Amino acid sequence: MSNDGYGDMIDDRMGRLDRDLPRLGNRGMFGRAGKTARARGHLRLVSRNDSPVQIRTAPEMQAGRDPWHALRQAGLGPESMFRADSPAGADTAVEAAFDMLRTKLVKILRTNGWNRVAVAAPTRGCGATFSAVSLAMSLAGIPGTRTVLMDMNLRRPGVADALDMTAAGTMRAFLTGATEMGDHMVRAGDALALGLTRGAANDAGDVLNSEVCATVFNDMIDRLSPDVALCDLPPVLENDDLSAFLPHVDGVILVADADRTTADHIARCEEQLFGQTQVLGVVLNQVARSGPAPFFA
Amino acid sequence: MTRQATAPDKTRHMPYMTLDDLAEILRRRRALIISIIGFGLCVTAMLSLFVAPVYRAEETLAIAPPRVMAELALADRVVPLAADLPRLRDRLLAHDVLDQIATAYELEDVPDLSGAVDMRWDTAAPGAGGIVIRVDLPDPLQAQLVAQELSHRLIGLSAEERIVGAERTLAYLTGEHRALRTAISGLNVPPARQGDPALRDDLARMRTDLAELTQRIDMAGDLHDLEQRRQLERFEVVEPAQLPDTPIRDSRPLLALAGGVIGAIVAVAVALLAEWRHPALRTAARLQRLTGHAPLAVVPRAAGSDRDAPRVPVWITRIGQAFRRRWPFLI
Ligand SMILES: Nc1ncnc2c1ncn2[C@@H]1O[C@H](COP(=O)(O)OP(=O)(O)OP(=O)(O)O)[C@@H](O)[C@H]1O
Ligand SMILES: [Mg+2]
Repeated sequence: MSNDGYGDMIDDRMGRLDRDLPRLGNRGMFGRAGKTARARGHLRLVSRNDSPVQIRTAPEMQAGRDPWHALRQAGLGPESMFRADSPAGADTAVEAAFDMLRTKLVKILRTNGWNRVAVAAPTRGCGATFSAVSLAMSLAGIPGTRTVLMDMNLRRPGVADALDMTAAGTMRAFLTGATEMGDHMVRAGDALALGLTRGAANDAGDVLNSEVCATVFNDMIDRLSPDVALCDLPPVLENDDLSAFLPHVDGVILVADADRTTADHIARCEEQLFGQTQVLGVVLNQVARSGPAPFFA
Repeated sequence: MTRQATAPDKTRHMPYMTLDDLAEILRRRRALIISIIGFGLCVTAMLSLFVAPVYRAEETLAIAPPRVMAELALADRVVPLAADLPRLRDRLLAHDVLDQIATAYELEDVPDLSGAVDMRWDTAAPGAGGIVIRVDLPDPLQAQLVAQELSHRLIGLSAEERIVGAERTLAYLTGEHRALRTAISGLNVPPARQGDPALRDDLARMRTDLAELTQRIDMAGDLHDLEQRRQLERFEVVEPAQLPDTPIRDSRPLLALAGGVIGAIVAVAVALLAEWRHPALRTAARLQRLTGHAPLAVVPRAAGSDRDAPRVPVWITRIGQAFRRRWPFLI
């Protein structure tokens, strides 16, 4: 990001991402986008005027090897509600909401030249993981883009469960430098890379606050050069594991549970996040469909 | 774009409530509200097991006039029965009597029988007024039986008192008579005073007294006889106690209503308190109003989410589980 040329490349892809949005027929579920994405895969490295992008900063890229493509492929588990063919069936209203969030988010990121977004809730169970995964799926539905989803909730990880996948190792090992990126991260299709974790780490605060963590994270972003890197974070108000990590993201999406989160929660989150990163906005989750005040009101 | 222009800071965190908000709160916390109302109804249902309805049995007695017309003159000398009433009442409703009745009729679960029975002079009673014995008990048959028992005892008591009274008069007069006769026969006049006119007068007066006493003894004997044969003033049942078929007072429906109403009030209060302690954002409009943020996205609850089911409070579930553990055969 510090490199101008690299920034241009991202901006270029973002521009396409932005332009592509209205034309998208699919609803962002990964499975359906697969073929198109693969077919248009080569466009990634082609600039707006169809000339190849010349400047690559990451060493592998300069050597002609894109670590993105080197990532191991792993499919979504059969039980995941985020599968296109999920037995529960897709909820179009939910998907539409996340597609709208995707559109707004891409605009914000593009305007500011950002690509690192954290998703967090004030308290547990509000749907931070649900939102992060849904948003990642929606973003991954845009052909020819790269989305990274990292499960940074080390104490109570949820992404692997939501996707019904088994992580090869722990996020703790990756963030402390014990595991190589290539061994840790997996790719679900062409457009989505996942950093999953298995088990809970109780020294989450120490891990996230360490220098190594920041270096590993920044290095991962540099090498994979995603259009959007999403981090599923632990609840903001539960403990302050995040204080050292937050400056490494460009902004936070706060996920509020319509039934549980109060205005006071939001205010306290803003207070806590103040000076570390900005709140990109609030996603109101779990809004009741029935009753006198319908969710679309 | 991420931050909508906020309203003036004063109103930003002012959580006022519209009617729609109220309806929404009640709808959302319906499981809690229904649980509390149900709890209230359960409590009052349990209470009403102890608050039984009250059945009233009344037996009316009257003072019957003497049966023997010729003896009316005699009866004039007797204290009227009505004058006995206060004393009879005290004797009839005395604690030991009521205890006896309670034991005989198995009224152990009636805590205060003296509060449940009453005897009074009622001018509105049939005839020229009468004595009404009133019994209020949870069991209609017991009420009837106790009323009859009391009435029976009243008649017995009064007859006994009257006979005893007559006997006592008779005994007194007989004693007097005997003493006077002894005095007369034992009167040995010294020869010196034979023919003393004062002495003669005394003797004559004593003889007259003796004759009068004899007459009074006759009369008392007749009275005693009449009392024993129940020919004089006496109590008679004019209206025997019936088996009451409807309770005079049944507070159970009222109690249930009170349980429901109090439960509802408490439930709404608890719901509002819960809401006040934890004012959830609920809608995009409220999010904006309370925090100043326009939501980036509004995500509905996914179809089939278990949150759509009304949330039963944890403590109800716990009680249910404990119940099932303890009495598995019941559920
Ligand atoms: N919009 C929604 N519709 C239906 N279910 C939802 C929705 N949002 C979240 N959930 C469900 O709510 C539960 C909690 O959500 P989630 O795990 O995403 O919360 P979280 O904020 O990540 O909690 P934690 O702090 O434990 O990580 C999950 O079972 C998830 O599937
Ligand atoms: Mg989570």
